[in-house]
Amino acid sequence: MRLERELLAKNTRLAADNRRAAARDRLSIFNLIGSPGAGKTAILEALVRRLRGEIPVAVLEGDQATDNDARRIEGAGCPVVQINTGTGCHLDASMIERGLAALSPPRGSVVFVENVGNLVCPALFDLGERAKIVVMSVTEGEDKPLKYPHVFRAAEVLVLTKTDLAAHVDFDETRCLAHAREIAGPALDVLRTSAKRGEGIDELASWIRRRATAEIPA
Amino acid sequence: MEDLIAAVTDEVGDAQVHAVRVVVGPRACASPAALRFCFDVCARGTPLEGATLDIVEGVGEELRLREVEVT
Repeated sequence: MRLERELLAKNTRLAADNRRAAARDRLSIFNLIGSPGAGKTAILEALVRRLRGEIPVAVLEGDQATDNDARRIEGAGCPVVQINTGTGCHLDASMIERGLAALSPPRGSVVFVENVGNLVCPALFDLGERAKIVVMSVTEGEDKPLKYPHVFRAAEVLVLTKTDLAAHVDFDETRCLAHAREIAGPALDVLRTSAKRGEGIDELASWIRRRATAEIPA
Repeated sequence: MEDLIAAVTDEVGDAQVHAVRVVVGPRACASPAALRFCFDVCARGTPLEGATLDIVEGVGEELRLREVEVT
């Protein structure tokens, strides 16, 4: 029996459902993607502290194992649900659907999804988010955007992290941004941050606020 | 894997499955080796138990159930 049935179609369908539910509940979901150790959790801790007084914020944390990151986010002071994927290398739309049901964020919330540390697979799996945010540290090398073009093209903003370490690793920021724009085009926003020094967090918070309150396309 | 098994049983119900052919592209984020490893275990207790899994190389991100043979 010849079928030709797409197995990934289910994720695409569920992501569309998530997107509709988010629009209905006025949730702005942001999907943070980056290598393990890029600084996703540290940036989220700083961002949560910065935003929580102004708008309701919640987080879905993705890791293969442990709830270490969820505990850190709890410390930053917002509701969080940990998703453990076991052997899975990326979050998918059905995990987000279940996570949102557990989180039950109030209307108007910004929901940050911290994806599993991985620059490859998360680019392929729509979660129903408002935007993808690619997180990359200065320790990862200027040519990262060239080596992982799919995620840089899919993202709306590049958050460069650990700028306090740039001098120690001879990171050429100009070259890195040139590569990123070469791959992703001029529309890619770039924000430079150091969670350790508290730098760039205000700008990132502004970006989030602007993107969260932008018109939802019909 | 659960999606694959569900996709098969959706189509054939309770009929005993003899063989399954799946197309996996290099960017599908599903390694053929992992699929083979999981298949026998996950198929136990389902109509796919004992079926042969045939994996065909596809293009790009495709991940498709191509063919099912029932006994």
